[in-house]
Amino acid sequence: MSIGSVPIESAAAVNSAQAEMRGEFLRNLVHSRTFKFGATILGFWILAAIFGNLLAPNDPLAQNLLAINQAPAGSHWFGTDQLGRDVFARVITGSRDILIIAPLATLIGTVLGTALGLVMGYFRGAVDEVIGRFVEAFLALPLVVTGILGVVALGPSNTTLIIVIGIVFAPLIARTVRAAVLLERELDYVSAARLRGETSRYIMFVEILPNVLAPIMVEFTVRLGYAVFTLVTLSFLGFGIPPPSANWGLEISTNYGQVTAGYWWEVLFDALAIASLVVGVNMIANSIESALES
Amino acid sequence: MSGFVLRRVGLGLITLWILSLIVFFAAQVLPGDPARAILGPLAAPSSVKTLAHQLGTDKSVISQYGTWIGHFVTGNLGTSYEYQAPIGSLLTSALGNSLKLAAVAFVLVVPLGILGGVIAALNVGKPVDRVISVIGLSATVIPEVVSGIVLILVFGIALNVLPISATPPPGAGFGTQIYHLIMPAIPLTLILFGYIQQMARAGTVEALASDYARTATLKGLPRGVMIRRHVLRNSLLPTITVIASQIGYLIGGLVLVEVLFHYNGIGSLIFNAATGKDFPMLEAGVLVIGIAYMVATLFADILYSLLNPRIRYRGVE
Repeated sequence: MSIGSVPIESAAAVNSAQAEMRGEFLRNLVHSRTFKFGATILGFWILAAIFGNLLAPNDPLAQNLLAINQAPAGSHWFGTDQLGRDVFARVITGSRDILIIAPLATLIGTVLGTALGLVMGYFRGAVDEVIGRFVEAFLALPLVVTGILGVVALGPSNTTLIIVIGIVFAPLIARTVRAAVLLERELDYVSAARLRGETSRYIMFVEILPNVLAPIMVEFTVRLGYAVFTLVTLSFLGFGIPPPSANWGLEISTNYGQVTAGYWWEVLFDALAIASLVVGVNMIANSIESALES
Repeated sequence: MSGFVLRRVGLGLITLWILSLIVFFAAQVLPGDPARAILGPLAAPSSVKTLAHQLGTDKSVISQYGTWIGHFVTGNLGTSYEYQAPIGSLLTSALGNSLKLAAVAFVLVVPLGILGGVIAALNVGKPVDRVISVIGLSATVIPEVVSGIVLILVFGIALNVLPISATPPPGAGFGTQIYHLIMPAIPLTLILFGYIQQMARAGTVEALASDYARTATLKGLPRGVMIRRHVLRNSLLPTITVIASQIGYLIGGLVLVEVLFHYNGIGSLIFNAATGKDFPMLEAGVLVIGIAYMVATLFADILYSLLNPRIRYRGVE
């Protein structure tokens, strides 16, 4: 068989086919009710994080010791906490740090995990085995425990949280990317690139990476939900975002001792806010996954 | 089969060794001088030096690791800074308490998850299926802080039907202990429910579509008998392994739940060790969790290979 008889698609045709697939994916996504719902919730919290101080009628940090532990009423929609601060203002602005730290941590984890996964899946053999042991070792600990260990090791700060959550996510994402790369590396375009004499780095990052973006995107959104989960949990345990700026996990832990006195409003609204954000992010993740499948 | 198990155990031991390095490095090397951390920034340098010598932290990092891991392997987990007592006995009683809590959670979630999955599978695409799946998916992603707080507010305070502390009064009988563990077990149950339900649903859907299910239906077997005898037996195999593989998650969830409900288990032990800078306790606790996870996954793998011969033979190759 001569080389001439092998049909080679023109670059333009390949590009337009890819653009069409991307268009179909976006159409599926935008038409999904789950996506719309999730995006609305996330959008709301992003707006609240940016314009929170304008939305809230009171200052989230202003204390009023003459009006502590007040039940929800006209002047304080969600009541006041044990220092007389407005709970509504603190819930509305409580997403800010979470929405900065969680995406950054997830991004670091995704970049690191993708690089690891590409290397493990492409080289296989000894490289895969050795990195695989480290990945396994990290996965043997629950997220929260690794988080606590990381904060003990590096000291509490927002940077620590970003690094620790990022590092914890990397092995999880690496495992998914590795599995995808193992399938891709057997395909013809990879052999073709190898025959052309391309370097391994070129093949991994220029040839294979664009073809495994779909699972990476799904991982990113799923992990984003878990990043919020982990942040809130660590904050509740006192290993998270430091005070005084409001954040939901910390709010619950500082006001939690008050619930037996009947001050339910000091924790309930924070809890509901967390639930809405995590469910919203996961709805987006689910709809991206099903839009990619169809 | 024994080759497969041996290989898995060998790899597991290497992983554990790496884990011990990570734990040691994170808790012993990175936080700085433990003696300084215990005595505080105002202590005299001479007393810091004396304490460092007593703790053995003035030696080289490598010899410290050697001593620590050597003792650990022989069952000597060290002495807690905070309690000035052997860690082994503290850890054992905490593990016992955690096991009780985990057992209550499993007893609640396994039948519920399987039932939910099978009901969803028998009604694929119908509203019942969608409702169960949405509940399962949402329950899985909501942090235990949220469900725990809502439970405390509703059942502990507003209705006042369940105690909000997991620790029963001293000398309480078995029934009272369980009664105190019901509410703490529910947040764990909620998270696990989604996983188990989804696996049971997928397994049942697959089994319902199989040839043997169709044959059973065509030979005139009543639907109930067909489901019980043919579908459930096959659909529950993957579910069993999912249940075993969730042990790791469960331990993570225990940290939060035990702190929230004031319970002396392995989770609150690690939490207290981390807040109190009780490094030997933290290291031992975390490493024990790692071991528990590895043993549970090994058990899940072996169980799965026993139930599924295809994996078993491939493993021997």
